[in-house]
Amino acid sequence: MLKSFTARAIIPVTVAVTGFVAVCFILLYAVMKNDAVRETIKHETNLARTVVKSTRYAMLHNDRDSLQNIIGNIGNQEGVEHIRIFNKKGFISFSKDITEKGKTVDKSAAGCIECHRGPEPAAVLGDMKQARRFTNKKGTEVIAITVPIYNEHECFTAPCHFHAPTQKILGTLDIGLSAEPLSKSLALIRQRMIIFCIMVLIITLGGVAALLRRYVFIPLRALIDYTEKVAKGSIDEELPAAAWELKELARNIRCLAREIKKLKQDKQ
Amino acid sequence: MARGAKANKGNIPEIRALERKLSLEMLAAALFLLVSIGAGKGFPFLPALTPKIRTVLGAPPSPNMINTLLLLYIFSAIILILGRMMAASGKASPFGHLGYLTGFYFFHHFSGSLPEYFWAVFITGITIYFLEGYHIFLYCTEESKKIREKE
Repeated sequence: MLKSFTARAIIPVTVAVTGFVAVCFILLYAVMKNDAVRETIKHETNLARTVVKSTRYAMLHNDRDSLQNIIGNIGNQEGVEHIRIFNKKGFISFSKDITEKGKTVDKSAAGCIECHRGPEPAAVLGDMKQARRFTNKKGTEVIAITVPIYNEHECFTAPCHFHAPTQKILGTLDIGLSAEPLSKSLALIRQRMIIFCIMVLIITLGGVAALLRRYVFIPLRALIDYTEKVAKGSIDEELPAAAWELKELARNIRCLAREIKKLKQDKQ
Repeated sequence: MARGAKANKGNIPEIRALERKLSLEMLAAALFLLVSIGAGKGFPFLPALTPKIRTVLGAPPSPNMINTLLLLYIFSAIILILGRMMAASGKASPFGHLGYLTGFYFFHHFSGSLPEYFWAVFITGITIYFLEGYHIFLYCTEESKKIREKE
């Protein structure tokens, strides 16, 4: 009986708490992961814009050696998986990987299709749409950002070369950074959250089990022992130490036993 | 339910009703598992929505909004089932839960976030069906025992 009582009390609590904590863990982790990815993309977009700004002077002077040098130096930084600049037609003019120079990127590839989806390519994209995640040939997970290089007033009025004033975009900077630091941070967060959830489960279930045992199961066991002794005839047994309700029940049983004993004696 | 009384309990209409209640609960849980298998594979049997239908349906709710509702749903469902356990009430809504959970799967599917949130909906369903099934099982066992004792 006690065993069944324990099961009936503990099982629903265990299932309810475990299920709820597990769902909360999954949803909370997903929110934290999305926030972390969004922040990383924001940070990388700023970095890409900084690169575009730092190459502006060399571009205005059509200094191609300086441009390749800047791109090469940035590309050698730890965590930079690729960096390239290509023109409106997709012709790669500058790249960290010099073997890529002169090749043409596919407009339907990830990173290009976002702008070239329609008949007229989009000139402005949100931060999240500029980003893409993929695993490169080396097996490294990469978060890549494409930032358009806009045609500014100085670009089409520069003395060295010029672009048509109607041309909105001159080219695109594509920079890909390793997602390994982000993955490591997320794995750490996940581990800590799992440990936290397990601790919450242990404390909740342990607390419920301990309280039930202390205030229900042990007094109930004592009450069963007491009633067994009363049933065998020893009605002057000391009442079991229990909560008010159980003690009252024991007292009533003792009264009942005394009445029965008295009735039996009267009959004899 | 106790096996000993199986021979004669089927003849009592009340016990039959209790057995039907338990069977419906199990049927709903089995249907939920089937829907989950489909959801886990990305509902390959569903036809892809044409852009026209998508325009008519409008933009799907954001995953955050669906998840907030999912959290509210699991919380209120657990409270409701525990409340029914306390009140020793035999009420249950197995097909209602099936509808809600399938709805969550569909919303995540059409907003493109099902692979990320499949486990959240699945664990919600398992928790709810386990709790409700356990409650209905205990309720039916106790009630049929009472009926048999009266007979």
